[in-house]
Amino acid sequence: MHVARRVTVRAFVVAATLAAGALVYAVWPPDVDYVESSYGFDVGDQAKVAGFSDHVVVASVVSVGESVDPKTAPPFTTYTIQIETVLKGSLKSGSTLPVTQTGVDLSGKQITQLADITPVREGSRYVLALKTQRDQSLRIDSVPVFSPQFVSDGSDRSSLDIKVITDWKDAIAHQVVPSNLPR
Amino acid sequence: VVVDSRSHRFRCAVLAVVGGLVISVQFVLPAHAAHLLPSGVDSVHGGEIHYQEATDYDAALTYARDAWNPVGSVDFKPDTASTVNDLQYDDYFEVTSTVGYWTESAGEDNIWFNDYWFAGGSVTNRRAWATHEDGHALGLDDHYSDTWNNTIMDSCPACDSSVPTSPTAHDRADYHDRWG
Repeated sequence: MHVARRVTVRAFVVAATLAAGALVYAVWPPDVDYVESSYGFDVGDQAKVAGFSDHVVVASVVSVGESVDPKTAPPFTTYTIQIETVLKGSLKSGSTLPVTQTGVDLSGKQITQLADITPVREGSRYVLALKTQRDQSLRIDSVPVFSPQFVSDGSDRSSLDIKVITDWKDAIAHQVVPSNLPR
Repeated sequence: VVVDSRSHRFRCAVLAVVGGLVISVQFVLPAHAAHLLPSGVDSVHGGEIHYQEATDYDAALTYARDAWNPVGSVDFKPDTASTVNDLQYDDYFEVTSTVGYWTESAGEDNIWFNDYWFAGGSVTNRRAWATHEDGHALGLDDHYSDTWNNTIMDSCPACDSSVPTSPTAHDRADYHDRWG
């Protein structure tokens, strides 16, 4: 009987320790590693960001897909977006397609995030400048302020930031292809 | 005598007030507003950055190393069998406006050179881009304001008419704020 009680106490201690560990893990803030970028042209000039992009769209983020660390390139995440408005390019409004972006969020505990770039959240809407890659996939051209640029929370469509879209239309109307692009 | 004494006391009071203001301003206004990465992150361990590389742009890497090493106490050094690697240089390819990344991580950090830009980049531009990324490894932050055009840590280091290929006076001041 005495032995059985001791075993019970030990089991309780182990269970309590595991539960406490799980609780600490659950509430512990995520470890965020930052990625610092440099750019080949003046990305503070919205007309140049527009001129460099293949597509500019207003899109909602339908889902956050796989985070990948290929080791041969910076880690990236695939998102599924639904295009609502095409501001530049040949993509179709209403279509749903995958896009990638540098940066990963592993279960909210290990985040690699682009510094100075607006993080993309599931359910929200953004203006995205997109570039076609060699394999014809689409990548978000992440630049400060302009891409991704938040326009509304998905649950509150009335809060759409019209000025953001108006400014983008104006930038596209006056777009400038940067003069120093690789050949 | 009375007038001289009053005059002397007045001068002393003025000097005391002016002196006090000067000392206060020294404490309130920093002499140099440093641009450092948040949380003090960098790739420096024990006053050095040991690196390995698998980049095609060795010349730019070597140039950047030799541009920063004389600035102060922190040295970029090739990793050896008896040291722990702090920084890995590699190349990758993506068609974006990004020329390169410095990525922080729990183990060794990384500097990534984007082949899309580097492959066709001039020697001058490659030097500027590589020296910029090394600046991040030293804990220096990007500069977005036009005030800092023509500095190595300008977020677009090769955008301006005069492309810097070595740390400018402002870059050096930021470095010394971080490393003394």
